[in-house]
Amino acid sequence: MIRDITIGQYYPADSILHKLDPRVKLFATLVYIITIFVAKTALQYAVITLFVFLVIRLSKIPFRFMIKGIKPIMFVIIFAFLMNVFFTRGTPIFSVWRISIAREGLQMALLMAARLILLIIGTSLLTLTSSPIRLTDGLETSFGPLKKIGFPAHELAMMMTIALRFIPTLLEETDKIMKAQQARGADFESGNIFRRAKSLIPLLVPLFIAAFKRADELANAMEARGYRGGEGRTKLNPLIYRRRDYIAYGLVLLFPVLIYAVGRVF
Amino acid sequence: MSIEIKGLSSYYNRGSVYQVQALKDVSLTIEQGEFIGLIGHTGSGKSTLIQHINGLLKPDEGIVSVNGVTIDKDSKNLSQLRKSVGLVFQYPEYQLFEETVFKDIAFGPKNIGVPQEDIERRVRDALDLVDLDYEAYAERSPFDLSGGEKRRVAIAGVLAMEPTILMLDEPTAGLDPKARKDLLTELIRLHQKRNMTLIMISHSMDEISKVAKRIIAMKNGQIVMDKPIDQAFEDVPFLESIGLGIPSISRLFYELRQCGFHFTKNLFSLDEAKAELLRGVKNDS
Repeated sequence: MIRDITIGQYYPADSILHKLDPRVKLFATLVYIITIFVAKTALQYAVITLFVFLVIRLSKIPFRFMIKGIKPIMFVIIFAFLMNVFFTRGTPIFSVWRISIAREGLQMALLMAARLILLIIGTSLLTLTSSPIRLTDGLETSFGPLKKIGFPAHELAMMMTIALRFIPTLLEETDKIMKAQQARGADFESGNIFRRAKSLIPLLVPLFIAAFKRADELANAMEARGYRGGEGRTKLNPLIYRRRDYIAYGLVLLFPVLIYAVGRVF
Repeated sequence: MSIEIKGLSSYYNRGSVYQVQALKDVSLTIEQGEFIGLIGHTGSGKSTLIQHINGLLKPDEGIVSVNGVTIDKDSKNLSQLRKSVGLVFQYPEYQLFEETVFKDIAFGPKNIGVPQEDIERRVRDALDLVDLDYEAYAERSPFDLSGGEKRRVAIAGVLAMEPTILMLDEPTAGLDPKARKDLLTELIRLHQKRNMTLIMISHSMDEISKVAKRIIAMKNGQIVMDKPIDQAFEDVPFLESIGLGIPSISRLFYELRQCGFHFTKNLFSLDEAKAELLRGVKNDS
């Protein structure tokens, strides 16, 4: 059910990837995304896939956990695939009645599907291996220099921390209210789309009320403990680069070079 | 008509690293009209057990049979069952959502297909059962009520479905002493008036001993004690070993007995205790 969503989840394990500085992982993810969008040939994708497998092995996260993350967006991937297959013009290789499939379409479709899947696996590795606190810490320090031009780095990071922190709480609450309404005979599963949307009211109203109440209480609790924004605030566990982080930076920079080379040479 | 549970096991997050077994081979029979006090410390499986009784959770192993309806792994369409089994969750006031008290209480009956002309009567009856005046409350917004009133409206929302079995998960938690007492009195009245089966979870042994006729204690997903109320609080060391206490009156007599006084009966009601104590004093003088 709702608990099956793995995107954005943290998977605690003892691996070199978990120990890396979150700033390195953020940078690596950025480089990885750019590389995927630049890559064009099948061989390049093969190398990237190989590399992703390697990183998953390093992270000690079970492979089926990654597959679970793709499942919810499988629909999007299939949709993109079909759109590309049927609506790209080019040399037809197969045609029935008025539908024809072009060679270019098939290529494009495979490329898009591979891109999407690699994108999701790669980026979910970031959240799976970094605890939300470390991740937002990393974001805050990475965006730190922008504070000078008025960018609210700390506030954004704090908002993210709070949002992430309350995802499980809200899911639990949803589950609870859902059950309470089901016990009163509510039906969330059958009927057409309008009936289903309407059946969500008994779930959403209490959920919103509880969420606003909680936000209010949290704001009070934060103020009671003297919170007044990021200015002059120190950290209990400041982020410090270690040797492995510098090595990782080096490897991350090599990655797009390697992929580029693969594309040029072969 | 009764509840029958055989070899019930239940897991959370089955098949993942976070798997927890919430119930282990639980078997239990409850007859119509019983008043059960379900006790056990946090995480002992009480809430999981009652959710199985109205089919919100389905057994991973074993079967649950309620009023002749059997719930197993693949049961679907349990609306018939939910008509006869009411469940009041912890802090039920969070489930209120309608604009008026009337509409909120009518939500349950409407869902189970009660005809329109019958709904008003049911809402009236339900409000009456929780001791709220229909004229004064029906058109108010549930969000303007006090905590205790909200709780009662939420309970009325379940009562309006006119279940034959009512389960309550810590119904008095967070209420002030008066609201607590009122609620318990109402429960006793419901039990007597309608021969309803009641299952109440509570952490307060004083409360439980006032209302329940049979005590079931759980620990680590298993039933570790199932006794009628007059025998339930005899084994104090055992109850303490599973993280539970005994009612204050039983505690008083237990301590007195430890000091060498002799009492024949096990007491937990105030009147009986008074009589017994007075008798003891007279015998001494």
